[in-house]
Amino acid sequence: MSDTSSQHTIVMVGQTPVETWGARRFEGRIAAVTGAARGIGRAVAERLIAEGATVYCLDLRAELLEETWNGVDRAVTIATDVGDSAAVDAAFERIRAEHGKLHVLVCNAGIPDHPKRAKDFPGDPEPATIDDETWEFVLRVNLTGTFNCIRAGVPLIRAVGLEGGAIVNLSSVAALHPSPLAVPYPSSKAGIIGMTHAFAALLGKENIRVNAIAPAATDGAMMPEDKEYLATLTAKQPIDRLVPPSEMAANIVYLCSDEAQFITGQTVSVSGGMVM
Amino acid sequence: MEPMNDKHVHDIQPIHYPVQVGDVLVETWGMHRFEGRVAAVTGAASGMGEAVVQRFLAEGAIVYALDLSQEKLDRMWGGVEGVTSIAVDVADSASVNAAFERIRAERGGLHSLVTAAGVADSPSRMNAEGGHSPAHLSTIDDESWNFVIGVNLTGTFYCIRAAMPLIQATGAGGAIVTISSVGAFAPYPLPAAYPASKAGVTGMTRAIAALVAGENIRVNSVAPAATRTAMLPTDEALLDSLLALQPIPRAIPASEMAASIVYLCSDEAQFMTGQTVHINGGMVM
Repeated sequence: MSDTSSQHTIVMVGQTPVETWGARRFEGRIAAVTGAARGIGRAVAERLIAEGATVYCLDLRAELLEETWNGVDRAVTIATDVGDSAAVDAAFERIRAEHGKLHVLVCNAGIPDHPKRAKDFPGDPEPATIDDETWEFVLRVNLTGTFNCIRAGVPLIRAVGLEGGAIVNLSSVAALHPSPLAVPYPSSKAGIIGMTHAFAALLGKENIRVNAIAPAATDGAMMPEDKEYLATLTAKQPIDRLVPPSEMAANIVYLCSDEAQFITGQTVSVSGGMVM
Repeated sequence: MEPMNDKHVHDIQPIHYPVQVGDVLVETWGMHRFEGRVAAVTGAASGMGEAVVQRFLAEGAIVYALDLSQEKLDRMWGGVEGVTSIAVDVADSASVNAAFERIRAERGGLHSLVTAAGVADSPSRMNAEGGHSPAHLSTIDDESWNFVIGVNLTGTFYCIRAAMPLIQATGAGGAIVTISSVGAFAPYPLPAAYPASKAGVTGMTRAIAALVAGENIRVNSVAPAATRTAMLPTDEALLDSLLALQPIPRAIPASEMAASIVYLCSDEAQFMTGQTVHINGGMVM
């Protein structure tokens, strides 16, 4: 049997070809994506733009943000530290002033460890090495940062009305699968699941959906170059490969779309079967 | 739009990218993910299976529609382009094997299998419209238990077993989606055979996902809450009590279920396997 002629549709977003399969689920919609300069956040913003959205791209790394999004249609950059609630409030105030509402919020900004210890996974898991500053920093960016953005984003999502809106938070397979990582990261990512449940229960009647994605190791997102280490991670997956950010983005954007209108409070594990 | 707390609000949303399938307009959002692909759907003469067939067709698939009654299949799919209907009893392995042998003979392979055939209870216990009847244990006789397990759990196994060689024959991988239920995850006093069969489907989904992942074949499941099909409880008090457990307190349109099922079959979900996607308005998180 010959393989298929499935209809691929490539949309250029800046210099990036984005597969959409022809979907146009976000025409005229406003989205905000944190951690949008690189990795999964960038891929989510690209997919949303490819399907017609105007996307506010938030990231701490102002230069990278400009480098990625400068000159891209319907991408608006705001340099923001999600761990700083005043900065977050200011960013969402700008979105309010410019559009008055927000349909989609993807809370993707996150770090694997304190940068003084490790830029990438796995970090030093020995508890004695995890000082207060490290613990507080990782929790502040990953967990408090997600809360800051949802708190600032909800009034704008409410302004959409009963048409509804969607929030997707980035948890991690590290919150679900036992693995000897430095503990601030899995702790923060498990906290995101609890937060997702609570906000989903709170906002369901307003037709605002809140879900989480729990990715396995994603290529180019916080992952070290060390091929041997990466191989030990993917070997735990029945689908034994490193997933590209664009595939993770496809799943996140699906949860943001009207295709998933009755899915709320869920943590979808996109992990090649590492967690079932 | 009408108030969200009215369970009777239907999915009268505007259809943005309508594709005509028979007499029905199907929302595709412009997607064509299944051009030239072959899909088989059980329980395809009504409800969720029917909606899945419609969505597959709208996105370009060639679909085998399987259900118990040829008459019902003909009424639903007669004259609709792209559909071949086959009468099959999923609880009868010989019947299932014959159906998939026919697909093999005609197409040589299969890309997607959706096992949507299922029953709420045995016919002897169901109310006139097909919903659940009360749950007292002593009323569930051997025949009722075996019937529900036979269709929902064993039937799902028979179909996956028969379809697997066809999916392997594509050489390009494929996807299977099984139907579990929120009843397998939420403690609710349904007649026990139904949640038992649906929890079994979840276990089977994981085991087969782990088995065939290396062949690029994905196996996932969806666990719906009350969906607007013939299996929706007709007892208003029961339905109200179920919907009250959902933060989004509405019965789910079958087309919404189909959107998620077909998504899991698509290449968009290439890295998802062994998962149960809960589509329940938040009833179970």
